[in-house]
Amino acid sequence: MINRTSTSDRHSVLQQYLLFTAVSFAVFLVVVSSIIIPKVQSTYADFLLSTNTLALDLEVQDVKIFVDDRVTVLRDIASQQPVITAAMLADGQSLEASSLLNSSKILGTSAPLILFDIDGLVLYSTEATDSEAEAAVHQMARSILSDQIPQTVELVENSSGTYLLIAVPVLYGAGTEGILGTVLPFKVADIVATGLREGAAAVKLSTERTTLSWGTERIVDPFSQNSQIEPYGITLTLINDITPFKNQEAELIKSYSVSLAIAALVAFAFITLVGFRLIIAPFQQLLATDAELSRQRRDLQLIFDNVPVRIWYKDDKNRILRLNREAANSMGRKVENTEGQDTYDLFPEMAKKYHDDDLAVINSGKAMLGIVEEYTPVDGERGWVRTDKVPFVDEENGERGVFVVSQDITDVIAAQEDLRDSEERFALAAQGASVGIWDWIDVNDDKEYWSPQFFKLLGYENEEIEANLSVFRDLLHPDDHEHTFAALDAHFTRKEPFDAEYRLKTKQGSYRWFRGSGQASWDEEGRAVRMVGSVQDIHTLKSAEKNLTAALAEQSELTNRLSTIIDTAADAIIIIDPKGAIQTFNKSAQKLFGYSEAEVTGKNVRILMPDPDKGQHDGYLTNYLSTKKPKIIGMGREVTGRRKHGDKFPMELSVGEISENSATAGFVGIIRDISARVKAEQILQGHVKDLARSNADLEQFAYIASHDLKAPLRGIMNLADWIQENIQETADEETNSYLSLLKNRISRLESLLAGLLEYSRVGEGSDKLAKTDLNMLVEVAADLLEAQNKGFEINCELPAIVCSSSEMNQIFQNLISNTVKHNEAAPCRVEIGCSLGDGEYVFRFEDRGIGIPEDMWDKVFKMFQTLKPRDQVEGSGMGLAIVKKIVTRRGGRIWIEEPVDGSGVAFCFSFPKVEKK
Amino acid sequence: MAFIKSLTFLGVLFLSSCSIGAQDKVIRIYQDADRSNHIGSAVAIERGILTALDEVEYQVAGYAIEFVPLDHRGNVLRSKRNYDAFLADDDALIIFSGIHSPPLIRNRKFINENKALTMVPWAAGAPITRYPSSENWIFRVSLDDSRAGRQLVDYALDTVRCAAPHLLLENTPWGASNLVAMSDRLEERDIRPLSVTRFGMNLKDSGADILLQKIAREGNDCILLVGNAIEGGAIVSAMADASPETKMPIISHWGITGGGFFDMVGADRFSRVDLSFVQSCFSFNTELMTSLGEKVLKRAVKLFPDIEGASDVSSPVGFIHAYDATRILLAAIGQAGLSGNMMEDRNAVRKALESLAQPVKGLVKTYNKPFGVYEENLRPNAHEALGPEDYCMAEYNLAGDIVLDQRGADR
Repeated sequence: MINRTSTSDRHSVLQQYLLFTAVSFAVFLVVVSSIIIPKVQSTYADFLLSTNTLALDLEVQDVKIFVDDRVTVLRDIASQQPVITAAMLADGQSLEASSLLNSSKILGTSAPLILFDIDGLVLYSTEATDSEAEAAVHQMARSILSDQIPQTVELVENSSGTYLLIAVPVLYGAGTEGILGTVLPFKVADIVATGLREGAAAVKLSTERTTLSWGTERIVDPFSQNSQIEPYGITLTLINDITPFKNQEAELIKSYSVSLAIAALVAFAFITLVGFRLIIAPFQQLLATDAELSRQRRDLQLIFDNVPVRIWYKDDKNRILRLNREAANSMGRKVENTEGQDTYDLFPEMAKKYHDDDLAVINSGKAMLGIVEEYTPVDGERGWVRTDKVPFVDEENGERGVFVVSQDITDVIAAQEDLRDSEERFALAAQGASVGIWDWIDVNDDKEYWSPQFFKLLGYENEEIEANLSVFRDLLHPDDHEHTFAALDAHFTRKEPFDAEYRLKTKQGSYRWFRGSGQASWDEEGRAVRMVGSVQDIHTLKSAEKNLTAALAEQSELTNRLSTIIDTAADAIIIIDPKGAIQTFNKSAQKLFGYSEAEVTGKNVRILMPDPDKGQHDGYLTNYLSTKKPKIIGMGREVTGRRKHGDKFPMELSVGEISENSATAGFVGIIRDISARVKAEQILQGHVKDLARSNADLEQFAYIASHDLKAPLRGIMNLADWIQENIQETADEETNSYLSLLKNRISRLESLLAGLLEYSRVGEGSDKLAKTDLNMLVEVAADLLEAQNKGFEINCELPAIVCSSSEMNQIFQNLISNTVKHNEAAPCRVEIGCSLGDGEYVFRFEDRGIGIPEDMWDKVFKMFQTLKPRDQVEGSGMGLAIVKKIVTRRGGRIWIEEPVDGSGVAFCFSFPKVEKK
Repeated sequence: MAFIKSLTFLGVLFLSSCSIGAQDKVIRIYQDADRSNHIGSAVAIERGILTALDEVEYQVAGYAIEFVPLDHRGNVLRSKRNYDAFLADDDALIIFSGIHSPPLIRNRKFINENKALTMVPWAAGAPITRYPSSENWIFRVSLDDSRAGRQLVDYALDTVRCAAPHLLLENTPWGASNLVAMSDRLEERDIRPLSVTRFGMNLKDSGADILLQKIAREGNDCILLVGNAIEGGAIVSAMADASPETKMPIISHWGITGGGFFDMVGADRFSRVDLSFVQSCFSFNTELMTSLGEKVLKRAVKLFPDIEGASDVSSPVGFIHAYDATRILLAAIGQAGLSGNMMEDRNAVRKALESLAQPVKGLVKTYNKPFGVYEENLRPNAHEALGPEDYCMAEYNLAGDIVLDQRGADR
């Protein structure tokens, strides 16, 4: 492993070294190239520039001389006296001037000369010239005059040639008195230096107005420089083709680069080899050693960190130099931020003591071992540690310190303390509980150990009598001898628990009841070897038990009786505790619900309920127990029960609370199955519905019948009329009588049908309720029936009530009509009154007429019922039936009462009071 | 002292150009002269005018007088431009000219047609005052070449005793006018053949030397010179430096005295040259100074910081003629009165000049009816205030002062 690691490291180092030299080589090349190439370029550029600048300067000189010469000549001409005089006198006709100008040549070139006056007008011109050029000269003359400049030079190129225009002032004294201009034809090529003409260069001459080019078409890759030719405002641009130059430059860079690369390669190869010998090989060796050291150190560290004891070194200045993870953890810290810390900063309370110990060890040079001390971890309860402190001296740097190894012995201390506590606790408990302890150290020996309490229980001082089995046997009541030793034997042989009650003779000579129990230990072969146990004085308990047994017998009797009652009760009886658990479930209950008592006892009574009671019953109980507000307790109620097999049944449940010492001890529920009753009610309800439907059908039928029969009846009446008309003269009396009878029957049938229709329509009309003045209503009804006209006296004292006025109108109209019909022969008085009582109005309609026999009181409200034959009193027999229908439909009642003063009849009906919304 | 005079001069200029402007009624006197190449003559004229105006405190006929100097630099076109400016000024009454004749001769038609009242205190070209019209607007208080030429010829022949004079003339209209006058007189005096050289402007010493050698080779024994200070200076310098074979007296027109001539030649050369020139018969450097002359000199000393005495009055003929001309002008204005309408006033003053009722006392003389109505044949000198009787010969002493020639005086 060591070898492999170091080998791979060595490879890695070698690789890195080679990589480093390769990168250095590359960087060297890049750096040197980036220095050399621009340097070469810059040198070449400087060279080009200086060469070109030199050429440009020469060329500028040439051109300047060319122009200077011509300007000078022109100036000379302008300074000639005839010219000045002509200008001064503005005399273009001057012979002297004209002959001078005509004969003047400019450096051998015959060129037009133009003299201008100070207004810029031509005074004299030697010959006709290019008009464009002349116009330009004219412009130049004006600019000299206006700007007072020494001269102007301009270039013109047009189809007729290339011209150099010069204008100079004609000076006299200090002033310009005219302008002399010339138009000089020339060729750029003529003024370009010979060297240039032969080389690959081009020239441009330019002014603001014109640019003249020469040789530019030869240039492939131009490099141009320009210079002003002063003071003429001409710019000379020299253009060189730098293609050959660039080729040369590239060639040089290439040769430099190759040489450089080869030199660098050789140099780096040498450096790499020497470097490997001098640096890499020793370094690889070092790496191998270092790897081994690292491994050892790692192993040590592993041990140091994982050993379950706390280890640290401290120097004599109380600084923690190193510590292991266990030590750091014990301080709730991390190793890395604890090393170097002062213990006073870490645990200020204990630091002083520890430091004192440390100093003692350091100063004495003697180890301090097994220091047991209490300590409080950062996040825990107090604990104990056992600490060894050993002095150390670092020979190399002379540092002194202490090497501390500490081990948590909290558990050991705790176990010791627990044992001590346990012993104490046991002794105290035994003393307090009147329990004596015995230890039969060897069951094959007679000797035993009895605790002081044992002696005390028997009335002896400690060890007043001998403690052994024989003495025990002597003290044991003869009646208890057998079962006690039988139990002991059973424990030894079958390991049954030894727990026996027996009487022992006390010092006073009386026997007291004791309860003895014990536990033996057995050897590998199952033989009991030792037994330890206790004796407890149960004499008082034993006496109480006797009394209790008698009371229980009595109670049992009562309970039996109650059980009998419960079991024989016809109703199901279920008793639950306050939490709802079933305590008692009598036979009727078992029969009713299908559960046996065992099945349900202890289970929540919910199982007997369907949802939603099932889910809410616990809530009911809790609610009652906290509020004591009964919802069902103390009263009966119809609820639904659930049998074992899931079917539900209606039941009547009454619940009572069982109290003990004014607290709720439970509830008793008495349940009766009411399935049969409910079923009967349901059947009845069905009948009621059928009846209502039947009634409705009947009414519908009556309506249809009465309505639809009216038309044919009318037809029959008409036919009867027509027959009577036709046979009026021929018919005998009998026939006429029959016809009259026929018509009378038809009319009656019509009346019957009308009544039937009206009856069936009750409730169809507007049920709109409104406050109605009943007095007014009665008055209108009476008027309609002409009651007063017929001699009836109607007195009414009625309130205005909220009702359906149409219904009320019908009622009173029918009642009045009824009275009128039956008392037409002897009109009578009618009294109508109303009283309000118990949420309803009670109306009383009383007439003083012929009255109704009491046996007819029920019948009069039936349909088609008439008291008298219709031949005597014409009526449909529907009037009162309709009244009854209206009243009952509104939830009222109608009945007949004995009139107040004996004659007549009193119709009474009630109407529930309706409050107008 | 010189500093205080400088202040005074500035004050005068200020007064002449500004303070009087505060007065509503103003007339302006223009000067159109070569204030560049011949500034000496131009300044002399200006000073003569200002001295005369100072005497009347720049007031005449209820008008304040302002002086406006313009520079034509000897160029006729520029002179015309200046006339245009003068004519455009509604308060401009009269324009004084300078040393050069050509502008006046070239522009004579223009001047007369535009009724530009002109006073000539120096230029001597004969045609200047001889515009062929009875309505002549140019008046001169100076020498007249047509008559001075004769005098020069006579002086050369009679006083200098020159047998073969050579006419060395500026190649300008002025030179031409002298050529006519002198050649006529030489012909009258039987001097034949006529020996003439014309030179242009900008003649330099070297050119002059060649000319002189040529003239000498041709057997001439004196030179009758017509030129201005610049070219004259070159010729006189060349003569001073010439070899004895070439040396000969120079009898010059007075044009050379305008502007720095003496300084240009230098006192040393003057000692080596026989130069005399014609001018009006007045000099501040004479024992015969009149009382007016003394007063005028005193006023000039007071007015101009660089004048401390008679010697300091350079180009004195310009000063003298301008002073006299201004006195005559003021008299004419006084006689004519001013209306404020310059067209009318110029004409009124022109007529008053031609018919001055009172004599005007001047430096050269007392002018009794100096001008009359010009008539081309009958009265060709009507616009000439001076005549040959007023011409004297003069020379520079070595101090640079012009002194009247005793030879002339002797005569």
